[in-house]
Amino acid sequence: MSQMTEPPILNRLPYDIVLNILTRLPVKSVIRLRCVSKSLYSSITTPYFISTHLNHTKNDINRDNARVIHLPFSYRPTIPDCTVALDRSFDTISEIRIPFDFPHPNAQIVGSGNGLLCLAVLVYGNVIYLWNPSIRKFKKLPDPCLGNSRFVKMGFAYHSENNDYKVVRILSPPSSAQVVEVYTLSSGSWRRFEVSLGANGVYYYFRRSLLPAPLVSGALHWIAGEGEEDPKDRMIVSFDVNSEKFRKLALPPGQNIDAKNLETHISSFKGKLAFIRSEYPGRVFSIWVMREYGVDSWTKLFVVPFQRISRCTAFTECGSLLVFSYNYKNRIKSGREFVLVDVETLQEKNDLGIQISLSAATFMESLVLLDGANVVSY
Amino acid sequence: MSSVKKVTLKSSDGEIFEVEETVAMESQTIKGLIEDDCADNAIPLPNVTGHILSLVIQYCKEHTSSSDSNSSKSNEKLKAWDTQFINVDLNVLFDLIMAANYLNVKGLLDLTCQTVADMIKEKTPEQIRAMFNIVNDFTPEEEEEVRRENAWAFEISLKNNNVVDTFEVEESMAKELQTIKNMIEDNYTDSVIPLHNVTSDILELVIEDCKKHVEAAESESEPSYSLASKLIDDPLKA
Repeated sequence: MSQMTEPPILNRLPYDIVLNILTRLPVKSVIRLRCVSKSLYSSITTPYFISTHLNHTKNDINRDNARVIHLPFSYRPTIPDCTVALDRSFDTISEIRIPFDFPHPNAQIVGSGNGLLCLAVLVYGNVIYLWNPSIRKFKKLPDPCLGNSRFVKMGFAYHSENNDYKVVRILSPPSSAQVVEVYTLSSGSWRRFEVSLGANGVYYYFRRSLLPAPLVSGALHWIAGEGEEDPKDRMIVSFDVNSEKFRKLALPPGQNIDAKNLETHISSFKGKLAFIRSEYPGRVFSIWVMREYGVDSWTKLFVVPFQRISRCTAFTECGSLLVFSYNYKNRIKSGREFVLVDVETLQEKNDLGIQISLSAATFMESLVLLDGANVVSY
Repeated sequence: MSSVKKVTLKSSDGEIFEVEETVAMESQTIKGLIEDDCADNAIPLPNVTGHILSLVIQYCKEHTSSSDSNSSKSNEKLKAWDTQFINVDLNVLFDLIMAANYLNVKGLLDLTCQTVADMIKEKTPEQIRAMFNIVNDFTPEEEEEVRRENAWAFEISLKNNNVVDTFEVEESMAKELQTIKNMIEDNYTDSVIPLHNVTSDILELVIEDCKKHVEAAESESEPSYSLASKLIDDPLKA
């Protein structure tokens, strides 16, 4: 008869092996571990554990399980819920209630990175939150220095050199100097500086696109125009998250001329900068991809035709293009119909259960913000 | 005569194993020794007992032959073999982890660590403490607070088919029902359990049932399931 052996002590294993084991756990299980012992609680709440766990998660992401999170632009009195869905099909996985208040229900996802989301009120963008729904923690950003303005553009980025996160807010009113504010999570505060890029130092940021500013090669990007009044000559402005320097990039050949009702967007496709444009009146969408970053290497990769006039509301990392067209009843707009197209296969999908335009961003589960200061748990 | 090159491995307790070189090279540690020409005599492995070494060799044999071009072993078959192989006593499992780490056999290290992670996934904090002999160094007040702060991590959502109502239920309670338990264990990591053909009223009764069952178990009395719970567990009958 064998003797009862004592259960093995987890501590007998070297720390890097314990890490190997624990970082394989889904986020919820990791959170549960906090209740096991104090030492386990503190082991889990280190930046090293959080990033090792994140790397595990990222390695497991592929085209079939990649996710997005989206939020409708609502005008109703209450803020709608966020929806987590599969990138490829927009099949809903779950709905998440937003746990904080906005002064205005018209909120947008500014961007996401490593499971951390940045949400802001759309119109003036001065109420901003960082939120990790997987661990139920959020942080309200202090009020930016710059007040409300119609001419605000925003971006959210992971700063890899410092393992930090930044929120960028650009104010470019006509006939005025452009001002930039940057919030860093580690400092918990905003910094402000003036920028002068063009000949007359005036830039308009193309306001019509509501897609999040893409983070590619460590820089955030927006479409901008030079000159006063109706900007005719357009380009891409990039903001390097590490050096905090601005730079101009050319749009694909022939695309720099503005035209009325021309729909243009900039996004990220499989880690590369993508430029999306619809031929008026929105029956054909062309997508260019910058093959090699920073070098003139725009290649027109996809052309997506539509039977009806369509407008783009989202474009995902995996190449899902979400557009809508208006339904008409007795020649009056009576609602929107949304269609999802895989730009590589041109497969279309209709029954999405989406009624309103939305902002969408990449989503994954992570422990980011678990070690954050001044975060709210709910 | 066989022209297959072999190496000799010697365990900590003096057991000798003769192994094909290709199999032994699944271990990056041994591979390094062979390439550095240190493998003429028996390679001593003072950190691995004979019992564990024989298991590691078994693993390496199985995984070497599967990478042969002529091998008919499919991924599923290999996975099934792995599942069978890893079904060992917890002490042996930990020894295997240490051996896989020391011998640098990546596949085995991944398999063993994932197995332990999967064990942890299902367990409550009390069970984890028991399984791994971890000391609870919280004071009762501290423990209560940390449980309260993280209560949401112990809940799962039960949704009725119309997605109208969602009930947050403590997972250990919900697992009283076999169907739900199975769904959770099939990796519903998003913790939203959709229950088809169940209305909100029934769902409320079911949750009451779960609570009663847990209370009954604690007081060691015989629980009885209402018709509602039977509906969940046996939808055909309804």
